[in-house]
Amino acid sequence: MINLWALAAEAEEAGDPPNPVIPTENEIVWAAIFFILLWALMKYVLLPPIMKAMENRSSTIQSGKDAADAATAALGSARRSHEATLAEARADASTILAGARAAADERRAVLQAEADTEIAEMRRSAQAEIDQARADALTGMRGDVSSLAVGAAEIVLGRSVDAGSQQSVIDQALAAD
Amino acid sequence: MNLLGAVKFPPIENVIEWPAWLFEDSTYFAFNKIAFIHFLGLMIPVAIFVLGARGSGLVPRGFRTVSEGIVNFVDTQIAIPGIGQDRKPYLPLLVSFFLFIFIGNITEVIPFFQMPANARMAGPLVLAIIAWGMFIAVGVRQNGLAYFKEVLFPPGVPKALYVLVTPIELLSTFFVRPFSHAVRLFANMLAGHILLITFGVLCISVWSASGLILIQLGTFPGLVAFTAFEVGVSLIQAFVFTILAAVYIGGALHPAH
Repeated sequence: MINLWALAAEAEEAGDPPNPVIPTENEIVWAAIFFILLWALMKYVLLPPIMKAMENRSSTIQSGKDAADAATAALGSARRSHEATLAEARADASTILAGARAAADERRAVLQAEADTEIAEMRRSAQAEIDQARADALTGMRGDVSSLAVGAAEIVLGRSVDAGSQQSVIDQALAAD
Repeated sequence: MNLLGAVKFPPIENVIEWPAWLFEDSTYFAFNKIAFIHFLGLMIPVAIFVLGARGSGLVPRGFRTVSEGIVNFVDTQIAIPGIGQDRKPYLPLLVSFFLFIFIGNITEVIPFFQMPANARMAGPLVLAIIAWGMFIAVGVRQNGLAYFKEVLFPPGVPKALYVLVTPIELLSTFFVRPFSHAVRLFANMLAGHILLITFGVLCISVWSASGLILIQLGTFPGLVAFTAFEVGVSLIQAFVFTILAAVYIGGALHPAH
């Protein structure tokens, strides 16, 4: 293997300018000492507290985030529950309203039917009273009409007419009216 | 090297080699500007994370924000795409890579330093060898010696092609990879450093040559623009090196993929 340091020494002896690629022993020694010291300190002393603090912060932030996520989930659940309850209440209200409407309609129908029945009864009663009055009027009028008709017939015929035997003719005439 | 007659560029050793501040030059422990930048690459992250560890509470503030931001960036932008769910044990290495390299790069544009430590081959080579050792260790620990079989003899390839594929995989994964990993960072930072020096030398030379004042209108904005560009390069190169290390480790964890 090429001995770079021997070549450098030869070049120096020959008075050539130094080759910058050839490392010098003292700089290698100090670079190695200081870097290995830094690495050891970094590994065992300097980095662990920083890493621990960063991990603690990460876990604190993560737990806070988890708590926030849980709270958000709970809020969502509560909101869904609230909306479900609201929907249920709305459905109940609709059912109650529909029931009330149905009951009111039923009641209105019953009252309407009762009123119609009552009106019909009153109409029937009034009709009966009218019929009775007419019958009473006809009955009252029949005697008068018989007397007048018999009287008028006796005048026209010039003789007496038996009212009893002519009664059926008078009734037929009245019934025809 | 002379350019435009009056412009004299400094020799390469003057802009990449630094004398020792402590101990003798050419000894193993010679402590120069590059070593000091590596030292800052250790101390600045330590300071940020120590101060950041003091904070508490749910909302991060001050240095806690900075340290957590760095960790979060490396984790989400590098470790997760490169390794995936099993990334946690490798996060310290990746954060260390990112910060050490970024600090070693950004000194390129900071007054007094004005030199990226990673424009020297030593730092990138050390980091690349650590990444190389790490991904091989991870592969062997996770898959045993079958790791080498999975890498050298990828499943799904016709057996006749192993004559070609196996040597290529052996060279690319186990020999070339650490060098390409190191050279990518080193060469980018060295190129940026030389680019800024070039524009800096041009500005100084043109400023001192009053007849060339019009050229200054191009060179000084160029220096400012390339300085801003190198800030981005510092960050991008730290990111690229670290994500490649993560991809290598992720590949070693799941070699069949």
